[in-house]
Amino acid sequence: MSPGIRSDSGPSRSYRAGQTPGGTPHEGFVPTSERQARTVPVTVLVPAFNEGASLGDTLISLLTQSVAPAGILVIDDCSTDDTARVAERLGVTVIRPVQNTGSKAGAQSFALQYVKTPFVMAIDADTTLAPDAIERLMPAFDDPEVVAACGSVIPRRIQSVWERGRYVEYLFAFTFYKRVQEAWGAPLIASGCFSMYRASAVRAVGGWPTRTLAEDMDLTWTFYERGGKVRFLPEAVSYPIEPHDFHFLGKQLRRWSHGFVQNVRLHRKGLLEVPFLRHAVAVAFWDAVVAAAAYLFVLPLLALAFGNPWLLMGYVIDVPAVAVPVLAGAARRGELRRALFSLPAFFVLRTVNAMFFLRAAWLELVMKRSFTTYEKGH
Amino acid sequence: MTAGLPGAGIGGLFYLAATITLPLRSLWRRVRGRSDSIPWRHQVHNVAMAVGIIAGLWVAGWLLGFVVPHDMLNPGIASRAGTGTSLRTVIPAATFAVAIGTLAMVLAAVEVAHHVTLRASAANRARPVRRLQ
Repeated sequence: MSPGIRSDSGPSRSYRAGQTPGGTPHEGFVPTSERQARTVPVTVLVPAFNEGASLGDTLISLLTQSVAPAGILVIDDCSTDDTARVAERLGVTVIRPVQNTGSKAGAQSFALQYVKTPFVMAIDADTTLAPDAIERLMPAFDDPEVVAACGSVIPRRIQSVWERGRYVEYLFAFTFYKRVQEAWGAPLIASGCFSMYRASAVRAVGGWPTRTLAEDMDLTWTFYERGGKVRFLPEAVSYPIEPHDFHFLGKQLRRWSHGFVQNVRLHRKGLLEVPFLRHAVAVAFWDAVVAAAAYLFVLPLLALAFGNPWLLMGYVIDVPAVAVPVLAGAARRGELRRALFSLPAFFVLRTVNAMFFLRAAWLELVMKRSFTTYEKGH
Repeated sequence: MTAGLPGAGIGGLFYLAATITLPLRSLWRRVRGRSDSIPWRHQVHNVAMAVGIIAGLWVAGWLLGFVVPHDMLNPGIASRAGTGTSLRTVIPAATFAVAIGTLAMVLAAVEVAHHVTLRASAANRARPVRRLQ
């Protein structure tokens, strides 16, 4: 594991590093034991474009799961680094399209033809899983109507202000919002960094869609419109690498904010048929546009107009509304102090989020300038 | 990324309301003889979260009352509100009313759009969508 990156308690199967001179720390990993994990009918897809630096950790977390997936496919999307070599050294199958597919969705859809199992899982090449993550997701599919299942997401590295802000944001979402969505039967999105699907359902909609920049949101909402169920299981935990500086954060936020607006525009009629989801999306869209405008412009203008700086308390008046779920979620993970110190970073990130959402809504809906370039966030 | 302004805006109110009404929904389904797959443990967790948030906001507002000067607003506003009206009551009450009103407006607009779409679909005899396997 790279320094500064957290991991859960040890894997259920042990591996030993090979001693090949000059090799990477991952080279020569072989299973040493003893306990053979039960195999589950899931094929894991790992789309990767120049992910050599992080792919090894991802694959090791997959190879050391408490239940073994039937297959792992790394889609080397015409990388120019050692992505394919890293995967091959760990004994994982690598497939390569003839030319770069242009996006994660394209790579995953390309790989769908090689999936022979009833379930398929998509995971980002910079994401590791808790040792029992796959095992925790499987029970969701005991219900034949469930077509997708997702788990919790916690940043793997929590050092910079942006990573800390994202840590708090995820704790808030996965401790509060997402659990309420699950209780009402409509988790808003099965996150693209770690979700499992019924393979037949993905094929029925033509694979992962590339018509928006948020293919995970597009796919989830398409499932709902076609009568499928989506589940959120908070005990299945994944750890992606989040952007550590503003440059990469900006790329990620641009993709996510434009993706959200694109999906609202695309699914605006279909979502009206889905109870709770239509309300949740409408409220989120209102907050993303109107509340964001008030947050960024009206509040400071009012403070100036009245000559009253106390009005700026509006930026932090809701601290308890954020702190309660965040600290509750952090306490469950034994990370209370980390969450407390990271709270201020959330309010910085939230302000930046608001700017990106407002800009995305303006460009997509008013200026009709759709952003279509898929850029990685790290 | 959580779309919107997590904690701020009407989203927070929406999820608080959604949480608090969950046990009522559960009870209603059980009375009607329909299954309810949400374990009581999860409902208790969600409601406890909502109660904690509301309590936290109340405490924060109470503490702010000691910090914010009483002449924060134009005194004329307080006098128009009526003699004896406390600024500590008017401000939070007005803020809450605006937020609730905005949320109600957004939800109502969605329901209107939903019913308009339903009528249009029935009238046009829309082609059935291919269902998932």
